[in-house]
Amino acid sequence: MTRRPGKGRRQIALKDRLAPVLISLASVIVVFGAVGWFVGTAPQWPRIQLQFFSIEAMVEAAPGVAKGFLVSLQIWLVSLVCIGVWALILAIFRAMSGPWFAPLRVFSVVYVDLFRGLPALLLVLLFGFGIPALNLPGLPREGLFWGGVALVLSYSAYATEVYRSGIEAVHEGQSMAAKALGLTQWQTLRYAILPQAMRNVVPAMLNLVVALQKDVALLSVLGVRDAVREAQIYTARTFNYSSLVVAAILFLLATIPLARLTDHLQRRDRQRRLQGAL
Amino acid sequence: MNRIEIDKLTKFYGERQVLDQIDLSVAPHEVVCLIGASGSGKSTMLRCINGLTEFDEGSVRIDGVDIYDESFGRTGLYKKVGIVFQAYNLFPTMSVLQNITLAPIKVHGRPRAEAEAAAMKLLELFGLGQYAKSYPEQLSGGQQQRVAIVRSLATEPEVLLLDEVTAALDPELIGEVLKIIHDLKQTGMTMVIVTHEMAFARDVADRVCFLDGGRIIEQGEPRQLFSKPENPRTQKFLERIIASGRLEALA
Amino acid sequence: MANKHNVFAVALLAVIAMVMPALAQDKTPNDPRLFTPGKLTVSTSEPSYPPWVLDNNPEAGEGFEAALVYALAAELGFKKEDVVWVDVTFDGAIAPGPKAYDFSIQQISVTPDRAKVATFSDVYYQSDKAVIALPASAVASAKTFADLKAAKWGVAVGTTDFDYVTNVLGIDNAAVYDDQAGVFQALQGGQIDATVAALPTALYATAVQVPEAKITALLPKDPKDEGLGLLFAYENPIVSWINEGLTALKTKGTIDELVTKYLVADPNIPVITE
Repeated sequence: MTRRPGKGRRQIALKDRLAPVLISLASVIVVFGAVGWFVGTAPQWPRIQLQFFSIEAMVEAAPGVAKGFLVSLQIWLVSLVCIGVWALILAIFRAMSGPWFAPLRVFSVVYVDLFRGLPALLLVLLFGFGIPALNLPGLPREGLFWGGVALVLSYSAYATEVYRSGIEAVHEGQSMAAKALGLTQWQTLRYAILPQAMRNVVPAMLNLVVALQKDVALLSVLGVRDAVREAQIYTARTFNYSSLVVAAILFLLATIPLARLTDHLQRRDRQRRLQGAL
Repeated sequence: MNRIEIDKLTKFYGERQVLDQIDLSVAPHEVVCLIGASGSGKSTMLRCINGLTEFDEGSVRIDGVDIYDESFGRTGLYKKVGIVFQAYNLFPTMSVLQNITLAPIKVHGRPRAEAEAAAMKLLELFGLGQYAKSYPEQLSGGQQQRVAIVRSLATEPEVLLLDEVTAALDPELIGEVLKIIHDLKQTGMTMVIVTHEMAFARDVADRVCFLDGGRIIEQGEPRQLFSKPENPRTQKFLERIIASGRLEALA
Repeated sequence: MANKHNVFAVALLAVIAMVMPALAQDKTPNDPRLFTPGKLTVSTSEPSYPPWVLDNNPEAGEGFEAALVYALAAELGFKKEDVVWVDVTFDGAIAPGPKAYDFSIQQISVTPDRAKVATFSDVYYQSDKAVIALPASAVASAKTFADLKAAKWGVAVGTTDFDYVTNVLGIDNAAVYDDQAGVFQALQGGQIDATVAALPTALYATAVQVPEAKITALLPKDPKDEGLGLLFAYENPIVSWINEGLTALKTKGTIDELVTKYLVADPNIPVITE
């Protein structure tokens, strides 16, 4: 590429920049196009398409599945709030030092071991069917409620460990400075440590948020008509799995933007921190 | 009465002895600098003075009262003794003003308006008034350390402990921090300063103590100690410092 | 010339000799079209409940369906020990695709939709559907379909019970469970007020599993539900042979005997109509 006298640096840079972009585009098209062609011309493809990707079936199933998905979303959002709070409480229990707080610390450790060690499905069945079966007066009975409780208890065990690592990642000097100013343990946590810990934990938490979105489907064993269950009802009737594909698409629509948001937040946080150091 | 009275202060970290029967008295308004190689126990000793680090034997008295005496209550000691760290340790999620007013409001119960007014006065006094609403990450290291010093002054302490406060700063930022310490000396603040800045120690200290292996090997008037140290270990230490160019030898 | 004829005749005989054993084996216990020739492989789900299978032990041959299988096996020429039971869920049985057994028996109703992807034997039993409800619910005193809507219903996914509740009773918000066991657990816990089940199932459920619940009514038949059948993989060739066996049992009165022995109904249960 010769330099043209009188032309600015900009134009040359553009040409140089364009080539890699074109090459990337072309290679992506070629590779995925080849895969698509290979799959599309396979002899089983028409049957697979009919079983899994039938447009009529998807359209027919869509209203039911969408209704179920709304149920899933509601459960998800309410659970998130409860997990955020309960896991934080557990993390604070764990962070308080001193002999008087030993029972809280022990409780927190045992809680995490217990609920991290048990499959979420087991907890859902135990709480969702088992507790109402006790017929204790005054307790709610809905599978939705107890299933939600089971999910919250289970996920809080993971979330509290995330909080804990976020708290421990806060520089030790912060606690020292707070102590030297006369702040109590709780004040130290509240004003100095937790606000910083929160920033540390956002990416790991978003991981759990995305995972929870899918585990909400476990509540279907308790009769809850979430997206998966509604899709299953359609499949049981027609033996066509396109409804499950519709549910899958809805789940991805919800979780992929979240994943990109996490990436963005992480990038922004890194930039902010590095900018301070430069 | 001495402002600070340290008596046979001893501390072990496991098997390792870090402080060995240290005796030190600091008179009111006196500025004492602690110098010595890394690991000689200087920072540990400083943190024992306000009880941040617990010691195994000995006692520390502020104005004649043992620091563990009940009369201090939970927060009385921290009100009297301020400390500034090498890592500044400002709270990053709060503004400068909030950092400074946090302890006065939450610990000592001062009303917000009063605490903020006092904080602004201090900030302006040290030329930092414009940064009141800024966040620590927006400030340079030197500015942050000066804010940290102002924060420690907000509770109106009688003693200020400074733990290698310039060690983490770029050279061109050290000067502004040293200046603020000079200014504090003018106001009569009693200070115990752990520092590597030998020239600064020579200028600001009323007395310099050389620590080695958990003991005060030698102490004295700075000009005296820096030019004619008596103890061979002090001499060796100073020779190394001078050789590295961090201190010009006095005639 | 004679040699050529002879050769031809010998060849023909040879072919027949080779094919004959195979043909001769059809419709005997060594039928090569069986999943495991020499054995009758039958699937049902675990756990199985009375009165269809007693003690969750199909090998003992007690219970309407277990006894039916052994009677059928004997009719077809199998010995008792040639019957092999495998555990396959209800969903697994009604789903399309090849099967690891000859047929499934677990109160599977014959419906046109299911018949499109799997093959049924002749119907071996047809029962009414009964409403099981907790006494405190609106369902317990319902007289018409409209009354029934006022309660919280639960059914298992993919069953004709589900179809009945959703399509015939017109209830669109029933709780849907993975299996019948889930439905009864929910009933036990008071999470649903009512469900629908075949009458023999309902009798056992209200007697043993959920004693607090009662059979409060019988329901009119859903025309799409044609009765219970054995379920085979799609177009399994041994269906006709099995049907011959079933017909023989019906003619001999064996099935009626089993019905009387295991599936007794209470003549006094009211019927609810639209």
